[in-house]
Amino acid sequence: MRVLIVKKFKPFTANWGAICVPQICKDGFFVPDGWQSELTKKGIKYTEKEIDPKTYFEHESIT
Amino acid sequence: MPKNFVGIQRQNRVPGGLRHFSNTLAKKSALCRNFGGGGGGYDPLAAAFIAEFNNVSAAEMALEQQSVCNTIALMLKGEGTTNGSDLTAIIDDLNFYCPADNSTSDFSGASLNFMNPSRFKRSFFGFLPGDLTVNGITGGAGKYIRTGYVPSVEQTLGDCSYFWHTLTGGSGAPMGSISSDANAYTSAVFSFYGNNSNYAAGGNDTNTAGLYCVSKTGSTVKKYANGAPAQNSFVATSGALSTVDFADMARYRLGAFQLNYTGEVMLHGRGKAFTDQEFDDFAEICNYIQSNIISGGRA
Repeated sequence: MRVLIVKKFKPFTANWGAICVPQICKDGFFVPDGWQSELTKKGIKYTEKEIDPKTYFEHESIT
Repeated sequence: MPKNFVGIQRQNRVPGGLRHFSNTLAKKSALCRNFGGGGGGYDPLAAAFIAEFNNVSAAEMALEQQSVCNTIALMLKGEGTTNGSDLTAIIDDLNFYCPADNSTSDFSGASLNFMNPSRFKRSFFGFLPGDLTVNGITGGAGKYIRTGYVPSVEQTLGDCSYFWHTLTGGSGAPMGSISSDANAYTSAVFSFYGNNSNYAAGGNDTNTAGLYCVSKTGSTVKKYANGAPAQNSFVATSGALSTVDFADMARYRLGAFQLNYTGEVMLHGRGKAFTDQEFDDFAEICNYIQSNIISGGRA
């Protein structure tokens, strides 16, 4: 699956009511695939990355 | 005619409630009230919810959904449930998703609290428009719902939290927390995590579809799964009240995100502890919501 790697940023709300927030991952922070256009509107840079969720999130830190 | 119909209903009431009052009849009751007075004929609880829904959502709620909401309000007050319990004195907050009509979904409408639309609106994180449909919501990495219920803060208002889900065969509990606060994961009283070490062995999973209730009173959790009550399935052994609100479809234990859950109904609640009869009545209401609003039952 694809995730969007971003640097930490202030959460914002899309016009359909959902909130975009970064989540901790191995590469720093990510948001779900599909938020590209909203990130672009906000001027937030991102990189797309293909990951295996079974292994990518397995050792994720939540501290 | 509508008033007569309702009157006949009430004459048929038997001690302990309308034991054989079907969902279909309850729905007809709501429709009759609607015919009798339009939106002004609804129960005040339903009318307030419908008004706020129409205020925040992009589309107004259709009459069919309004009628179902009215029936839910009546059932919460004891009409049409087996034991006739008045759950409005028990349940402080109840969030469930009601589409605007048979084909229109709306995140703002999905956030509302049926018992009190002015507070505890849920927040949806990471979801895309296509994730929410009239059949529920689809989760995935980075997508979760925060309820706003913080047990350590709200315990003076109530001592119980509950949720209903339709997930089956998952690899873990759908309910979790998004936080670095350790109590979010280890609370014996208000944590739904599967395999939480603070629950006694044998009753610590929430993989089965149904209604779950965590009660501070008596340190037990009541579980109603697959249509059959299974009381006191969970026994809390230790832990503190969570200082972080619940997040649905979030994480499996302390690690990976819940992935690819589809059609989840997203019913959450908070309030006081139930008696067995009240708990069973609440389960009937959850079943009614599931079958008449979220999946099936629509025209």
